[in-house]
Amino acid sequence: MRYGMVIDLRKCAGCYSCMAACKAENFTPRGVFFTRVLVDEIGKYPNARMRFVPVLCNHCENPACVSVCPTGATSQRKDGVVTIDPKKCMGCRYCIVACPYRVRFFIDKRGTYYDTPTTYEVFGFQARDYQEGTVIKCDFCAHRLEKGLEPACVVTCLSRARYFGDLDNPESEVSQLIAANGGHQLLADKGTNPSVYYIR
Amino acid sequence: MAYAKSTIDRFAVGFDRQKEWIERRGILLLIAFYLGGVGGGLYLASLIIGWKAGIPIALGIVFIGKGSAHLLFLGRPLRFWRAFLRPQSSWISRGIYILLVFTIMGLLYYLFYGNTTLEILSALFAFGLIIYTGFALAASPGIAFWSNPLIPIIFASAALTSGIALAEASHAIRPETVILYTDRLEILGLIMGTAMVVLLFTFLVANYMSTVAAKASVAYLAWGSMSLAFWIGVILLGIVIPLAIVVPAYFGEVARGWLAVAGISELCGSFVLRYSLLKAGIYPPVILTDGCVPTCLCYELV
Repeated sequence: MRYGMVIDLRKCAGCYSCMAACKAENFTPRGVFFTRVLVDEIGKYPNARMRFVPVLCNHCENPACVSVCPTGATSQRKDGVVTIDPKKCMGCRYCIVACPYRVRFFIDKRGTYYDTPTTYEVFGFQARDYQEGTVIKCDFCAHRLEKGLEPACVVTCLSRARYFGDLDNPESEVSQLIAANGGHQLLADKGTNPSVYYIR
Repeated sequence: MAYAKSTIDRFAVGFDRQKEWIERRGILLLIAFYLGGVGGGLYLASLIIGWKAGIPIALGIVFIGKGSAHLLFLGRPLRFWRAFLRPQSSWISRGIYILLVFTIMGLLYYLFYGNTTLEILSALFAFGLIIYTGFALAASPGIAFWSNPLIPIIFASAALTSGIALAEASHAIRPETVILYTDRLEILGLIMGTAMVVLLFTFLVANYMSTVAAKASVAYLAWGSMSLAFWIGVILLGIVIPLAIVVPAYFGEVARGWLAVAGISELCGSFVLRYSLLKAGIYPPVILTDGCVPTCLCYELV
């Protein structure tokens, strides 16, 4: 069992609904985005066009963040999901430096979007155990996985560009998409073997 | 509402510098690396030149200076004890063990000065202390500039050079300092200064001929926005001025004041060297596009 995601870049419209859904689901503090949509321009005028590339934690098979973590706060579950235990993290930020994908965030101060926290943010503080002075990141919505649900970004995607499933199961939708279209991994040369694949 | 530029840049495709270990509280980590290098280097230099009083100074710099800088850097300092748990894979864990054993061994050697076993053991851990920071950086696969086998050697050499420089400056400022083999100071300074020139040149050339991100790091240092600090801090203060004083001192007589200048200049250069190496840790774009041509610095580093 190894959870993974396939993102079909041909379908991504750059609507940012995955980012909004992630924020709503995970109550991430100000400036923290577990998933982002990178905007790129490819080609040259008159054939230039925008390209949208959603990125998130790759939940690598050989995660650099896990091996460098001195406290064992970052660990990998049996299903491949890389998680952080906020009670163990001492905030050395070695994992942030080691991760080639820059998808980890250090919470120095728990910032809010306005001078006073909104009701939603207050609820988020209670719902999520984000501690100041620690590192946080995407965990494939582990709390949803436990209930048999897919990550929030996957179910929200309007153009159905994101697929989620078991990479070890050749019959799964993600495995078949990779087999049929050839999945590309980000910075594959780093030897991390990401579990997020892209179809171009 | 104003957002930090770094937040906005998270949505752009391009090169990106590591900031966690150099900006804001990251400066404390730079100070910790620097003090660890100077302290470890001074300890080794003290053994070589026979300066007993240098040993407690080195131990203080390492245990109090480096230790407290590391603690202050942490987001959750009270959890520092957890760093003892993963020496099998994490260089930070290994570093904490090395620091602790080095301090104990060094203290024992100071108490039983002349004991060969303790001298060898403490020297080994002092060497471990000055080289482990390089290995800690090299364990970051995302930053090609650091994932270079030369970086631990550069850190160790810079540390030893700083230790010698501190001993040299102390001796020049306080002539009554009891150093058994003062003649070794100039020789060591000369050897390490020359070694640093060769190592830095090889390191930069090797990186420039490596990946796009490593090339971008070299460009950033050599002719990018860090070039002033690199050429004045690292090259002029750290190498040219000390060598210009130490070479004549080796072949003849030089006033003590100049030796103090050489030592202080090298200590400053060594600080800027570590600053530059940390600052130039550049990640490659997660997506390489046709627009990424690092050779001409047409990208913008944020």
